[in-house]
Amino acid sequence: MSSKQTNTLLLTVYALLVVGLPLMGLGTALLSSLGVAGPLARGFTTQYWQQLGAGGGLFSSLLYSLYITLVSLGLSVGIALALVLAGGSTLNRQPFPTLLYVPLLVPSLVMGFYLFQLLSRAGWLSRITYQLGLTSRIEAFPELVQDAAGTGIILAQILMAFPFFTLLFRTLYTDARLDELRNLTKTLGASDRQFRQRVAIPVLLRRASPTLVLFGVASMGAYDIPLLLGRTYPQMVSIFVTDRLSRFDLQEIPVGYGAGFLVAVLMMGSIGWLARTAQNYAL
Amino acid sequence: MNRFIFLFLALTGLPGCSQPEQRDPTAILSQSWPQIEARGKNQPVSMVMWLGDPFINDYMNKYVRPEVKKRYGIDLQIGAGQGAGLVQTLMAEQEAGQPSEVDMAWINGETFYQLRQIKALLGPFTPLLPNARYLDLRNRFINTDFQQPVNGMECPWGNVQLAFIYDSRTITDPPKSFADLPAYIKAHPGQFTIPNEFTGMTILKSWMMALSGNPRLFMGPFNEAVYQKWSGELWTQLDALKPYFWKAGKTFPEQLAPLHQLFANGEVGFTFSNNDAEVDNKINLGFFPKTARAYVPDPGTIQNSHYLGVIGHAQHPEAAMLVINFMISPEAQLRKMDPTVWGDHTVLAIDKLPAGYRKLFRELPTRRYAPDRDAIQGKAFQEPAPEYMTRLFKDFRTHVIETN
Repeated sequence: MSSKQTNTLLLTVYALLVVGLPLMGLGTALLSSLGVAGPLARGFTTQYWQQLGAGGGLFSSLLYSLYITLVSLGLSVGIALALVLAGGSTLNRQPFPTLLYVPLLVPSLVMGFYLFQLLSRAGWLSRITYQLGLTSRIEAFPELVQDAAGTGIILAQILMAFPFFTLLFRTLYTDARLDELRNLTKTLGASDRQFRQRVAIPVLLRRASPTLVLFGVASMGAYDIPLLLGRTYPQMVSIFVTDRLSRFDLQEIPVGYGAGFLVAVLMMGSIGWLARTAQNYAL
Repeated sequence: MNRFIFLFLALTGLPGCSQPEQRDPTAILSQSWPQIEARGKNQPVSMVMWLGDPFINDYMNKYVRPEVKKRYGIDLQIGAGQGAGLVQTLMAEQEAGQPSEVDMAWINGETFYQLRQIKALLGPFTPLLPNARYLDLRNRFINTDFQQPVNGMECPWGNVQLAFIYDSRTITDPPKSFADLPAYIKAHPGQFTIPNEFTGMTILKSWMMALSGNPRLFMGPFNEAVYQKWSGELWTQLDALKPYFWKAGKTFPEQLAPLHQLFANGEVGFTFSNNDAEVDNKINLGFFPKTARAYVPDPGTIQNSHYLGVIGHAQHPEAAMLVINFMISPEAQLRKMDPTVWGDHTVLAIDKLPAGYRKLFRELPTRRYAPDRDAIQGKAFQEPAPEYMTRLFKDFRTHVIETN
C-alpha cells in the first residue's frame, strides 16, 4: 500500500474517532429527542422539544452558565495578568513556580468539598468567626456557597484556573520577549503602565486566546463544582441536562437528550466562531 | 499497513465477535433449584446498589460477599448504581443488543416501575428461591411495591418507614404531626428543608396524604383529580412556608447526604430517613449526636420495602439467584436487622421461621434512638402509584424551586 493510501486510511480512522463518534452520539440524542430512537420511542414527535421550550429552564441555565464562566474567567485572567506583570522576577523564584502547580493537582470534586466545608454557614470559617465573637449566630455568616450570585462556584473556578493562566502567561511573556519590548518602549518614552496596557496585555491575551476559549467552554460545562456549590435553581447547563436525564419519569429522558443536543450544538458553534475570531487576532 | 487494518478491525468489528450470547429468560426460569445451583456455583456476580452508607457497605462486603464465596464459590462484585442511572445503563445495553454487565440490583418503587417499562427484569424468579417460603408475602407493605403487585418479579429484601430525625438537645418540642408542621416551621425559621430527591419526595407524598385526611384516596392506579386537588393544597402550604425554610427556600439539598451533613453541623434542625432505624446506625457511626432521635409524625408516613431484582439479560442469572436466596435467608436477615449492623427491618414472617430463629429475631438488641417498630406500624401509609412520585418531583421544581 502506498503512503498516500496509508494516509487516507489513517485519516479515516482519525475522522471516525474524532468526528464520527461524537456526531453519532449527537445524532442519537437528536433522534431520541424526536421520539424515533430509544427503548421508549413511539414514533416521530415534537412534544419533547415543546416541553423543553415551555419551561424556560434551559434558557436560564445557559444565561447563568455564561455569567459564571465570564466572571470566573475574567477574574482568573485578571489575577494571572497582575501576577505576571507585577510579580515579575519574584514569580520566577522558587518556590513560587512550583506552588502554582499545587491547585492544578486538586480534582474539582475535592476543591468543591473543600470550599463547602470552608465556606458554608456551618463551615470552618463560620465557626472561627463565631469563636472570635464576630458572628453571634449561624445566620449572621454571609452566604458564600449555594448563594444567588454563585460566589462559591466562581471562587472554586478561579482557584483552579488562575494558577494555570499564570503559568501560561509567564511562558508566553518569555516567548514573546516582552522584557525586550519593554526596554524598547521605554527608550521611545513609554511608561511602565503604558507598556503593560498597550503592549503586554494585548500580546498575552491574543496569544492565549485559543486556550482561554477552551477553558471557557470547559468552565461552562463544569459539573462537580456547581453540583456541590450551586443552587437548585438556576442550574448550570451540565446539571440541567443531567437532571433531566436522571429524573424519575422516563418520559423526561428525551427532553434531556434534546437539551444535551442543543447545548452541544451551541457549544460547538461558539467554539468554531471564537476559534476563528481568535485566530484572526492571534500574533 | 497490516497494523492499521488490525487497529481498524479492533476498533470497529472485533468487539462484536467476542460478545457473549444472550440467554432466553423463559429457559432460565424453567430450571429446577438443583439445576440453578449447579449452574450458578463458582460464577462471578455483578451487583449494583446504593453505596452511601458505611454500615450497609460493611454488611455487604464483610458478610454477604465472604458468605456467598464460602457457600457457592461466587465472586460477588458490588458496584455503585441505582435509580435512573441504572435504568439508563440497562436501556443503553438493550439498545446495543448486548448482555448486561449487571446481574442483580437493589431496587424499589420507581426503579421497579421503570425497569418493568423497559422490560429489563428477568421475570418471576422469587418462587424458585427455597428461602422464599419464609417471606411475609401476606403483608401488603411487602407484596405490593408502589401499588404494583410484586408477583415474584423482584424479591423483598428489607422494609422501612419514613422518619423525621431531630436533635433532642436543641429541639425539645418537635412538631408531633403534619398539621403542626406549618406553625412549627414559621416559629423556627431556617431549621427545615426538603431534599430534592427520593426521600424528599417521600416526605411530600406523606404530607400530601396527611393533608387529604384520607390516605386511602391514594390507593390503586394514579388518580389525576386526587393528585390535582391534594398536590394543590400542598403547594399552597409550601408556598406560604417557603420564606421560613433553610436559606429562605431559595435552594434545597439535592441529595440526602448533604442534608445529614447540615443536620450534623447544626445548620438545620431536622433531617429525614426512609429507614426508621437509621438514626441508630448514624449515631453508632458517630455521625449524628447521641441526642438525635427519630419519630413518625401523625397521622403517619409512608412505609415501603426494598427489593432485589435479577436483570433480564444478566450473564449470570443463576448465580444471582443463589446470592438473593442467601440474602433472604433467616441468618442473613437476622444479621441485617441488628441495629449495630444495619437496622433494616426484615421481610420474613417471624411465625414462619423455625423456632430457634423466631427466638433470635425476638431477642435482637432493641433500637435505642429509633421509634419502636410495633408502635409506628399503625402510622404507616402504603406507597401510592409511581406517577404520584414522578409528578411531585416535576411539580416541586415548577411550583417551589423555580418560583424564586
